Amino acid sequence: MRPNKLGLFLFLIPIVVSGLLLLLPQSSTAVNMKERLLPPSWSHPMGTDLLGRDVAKRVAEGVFISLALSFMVVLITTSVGTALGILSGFSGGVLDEAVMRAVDLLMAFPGFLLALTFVALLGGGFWNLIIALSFSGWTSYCRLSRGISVRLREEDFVASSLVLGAPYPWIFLHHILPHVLPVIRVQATVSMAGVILAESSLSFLGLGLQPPTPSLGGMIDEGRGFLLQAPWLSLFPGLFLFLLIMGLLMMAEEKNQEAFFS
Amino acid sequence: MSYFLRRILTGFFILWTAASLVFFLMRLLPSDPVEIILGENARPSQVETLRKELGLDKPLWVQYWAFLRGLARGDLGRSLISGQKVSRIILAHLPYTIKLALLSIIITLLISFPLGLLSFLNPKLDLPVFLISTSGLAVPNFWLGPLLILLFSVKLKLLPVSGADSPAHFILPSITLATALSAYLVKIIRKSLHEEGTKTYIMALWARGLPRKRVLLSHILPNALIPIITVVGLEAGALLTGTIITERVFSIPGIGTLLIRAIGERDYPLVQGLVLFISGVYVLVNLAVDLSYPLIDPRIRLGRRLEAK
Repeated sequence: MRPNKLGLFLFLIPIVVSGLLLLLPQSSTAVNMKERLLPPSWSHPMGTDLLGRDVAKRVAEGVFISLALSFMVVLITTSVGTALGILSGFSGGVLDEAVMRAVDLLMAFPGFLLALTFVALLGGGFWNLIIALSFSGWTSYCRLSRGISVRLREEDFVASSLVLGAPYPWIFLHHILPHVLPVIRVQATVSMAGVILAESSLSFLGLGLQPPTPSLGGMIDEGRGFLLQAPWLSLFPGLFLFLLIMGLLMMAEEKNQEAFFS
Repeated sequence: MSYFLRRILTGFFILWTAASLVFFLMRLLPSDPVEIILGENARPSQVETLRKELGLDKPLWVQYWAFLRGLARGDLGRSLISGQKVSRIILAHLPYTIKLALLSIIITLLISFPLGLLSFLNPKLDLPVFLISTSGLAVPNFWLGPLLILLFSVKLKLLPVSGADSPAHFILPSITLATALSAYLVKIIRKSLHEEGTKTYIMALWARGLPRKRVLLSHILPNALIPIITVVGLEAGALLTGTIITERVFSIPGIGTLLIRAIGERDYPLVQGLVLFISGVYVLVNLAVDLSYPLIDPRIRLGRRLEAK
C-alpha cells in the first residue's frame, strides 16, 4: 500500500470510530460521582473520568471539535494566503513589497508562541483559538502562491490572455489558481496536522478549549495525575490524536512538511 | 560586510516590532495591573499612588519610550506578584531550560545524522525510516512524555518520574523533546543528501571510481549541509515551544513552566518579558544560522542576497 493511501486509512479510523461512539447514549458532560474512574467496559468503552463522565463520548466529541477547528483554520489561512500571494505576486510593486515584508516579519517568530501569546492575553475558547492559529498560518501559503504567480506572469499563455483583454480576476481563476492549488493542497494537509497538534497542545496547557468542552489535549492533561490508577484517561485521547496527525502527515507524504513546524 | 550588517539590522528591527506589538497588546487588555496588585477593594488614594509609582499616569508614548529604554538596558520591568525584577526571575529559571534544550539537541543530532545517512545509503530502509520518522513527528510531546513515564519510571523503575533534582531527571524529558526534532531532521537530511547525491558532478565522481566513504563525506555531505542547517534553525522554534510543554509534563521549573504560571496569575509584565525573551532567542538563533551560511558554503559570497529556501 502506498504511504498516502495508508495515511488516509489511518486518518479515517479515529473519525469513523468517533462517529460510531457519538451514537452512544451517554452524555459527555454529565457529572456522575458514583461512577468515577471506572475501567473500560461494555457500557463505557473507554472507561470514565474523574467526574464520572464517559471517556469514549468525550474523545469522540473532542475528535470532531478538533477537526472542525483545524478545518476552519486551514480554510481561512489557505484562502487569505493564496489570494494575497497571487495578488501581490502578479501586481508586484508596493503591494508586493508590503505583503512580503509582513510575511517575513510573521515568519521570524515561532507560530506556536504567537498563538500562545494571543490566547494567553485574550483567553481561549473555540473562536479565539481559530483567530490565534490563523494569525500567522497564512504566511506559508502566501509565499508559495506568490512564487508561482511571479513565475507565471512571464509565461506566454498569461501574456496572450492579457493582450486579448481578459480581466485580471478571470486570469487569476483560470490561469494562476490551477497551478497554485496542487501545491497548496499538500501544504494544507500538513498544516491541518500542525493545527490539530497546536490546538491540543494549547488545550493541554489549559489555554485552549475551556472545560467542560471536551478536548483531546485537555483530557490528556487531566489523565496525567492518574497514569497508574486510570491509564485509559490519557491513553485513548492520545491514540486518537496520534492517528489523526499521523494520517494527515502520511497523506502528504514527503512533500513539504515544513509547515508542520512553523 | 553588507550581508552581515543587513542581517543584523533586520534582526534588530524584528525584535523592536515584537517588543512594540507586545507592549501595545498589553495596554489593550481589559484588566488593570493596579487592580491585580491591590485587589478590588483598594482605597482610591492607594490606587493613585501605585499608578504614579508604576508610571501609568503618564501618556502612552512616554510609557512606550521608557519601556524601550529599559529594554535596551535589559530591564524588563517588575513582576506584579512578587515585585522582583523580571530579568532576574527569568535568569533563575533559565538553567533548567538550557540543560533540557542542550541535551535534546545532542540526542537529536546523535539520532538523526546516522539514521539519515543510513537510509540514504540503503534504499531498502526508505519505508521503515519514513514510517518511524513520520510517527515520531506525529506523536504529541504531552502524550509521549506520560507514556515514557509509565514505561520507564512506573513499570521498570529505572528513571525518576518528574522534577529536576539530578541529571537523571533530564533523560526522559530530553528524549521526549528530541523525538519530533530528530524525526523531522532525518527527513531533511535524507532529502538533502538525495538531491545533492543525484547531481552530475557526483555521478562523475562515482564513474571515476572514488571510494564510497570519500564521495559521501567529503563531497555530498558538505554540499548538502545548507538546507540541513536551515532546518536546525527552524527547529529552534519547535525546541523552544516544545520545552514549554515538556517542562509541564515533567514538572521542570524552567522558563516554560514559569510562562504558564505567569499567564495563570495574570502577571503581565512577566508574560511580556518571557515572550520577548523567547522570541529574542529564536530571532538570534536564526540570525546565527543565516550568518553561518557564508562560512559553511563559500559559494554564498558576502553581500549577495541569500534566497531562503
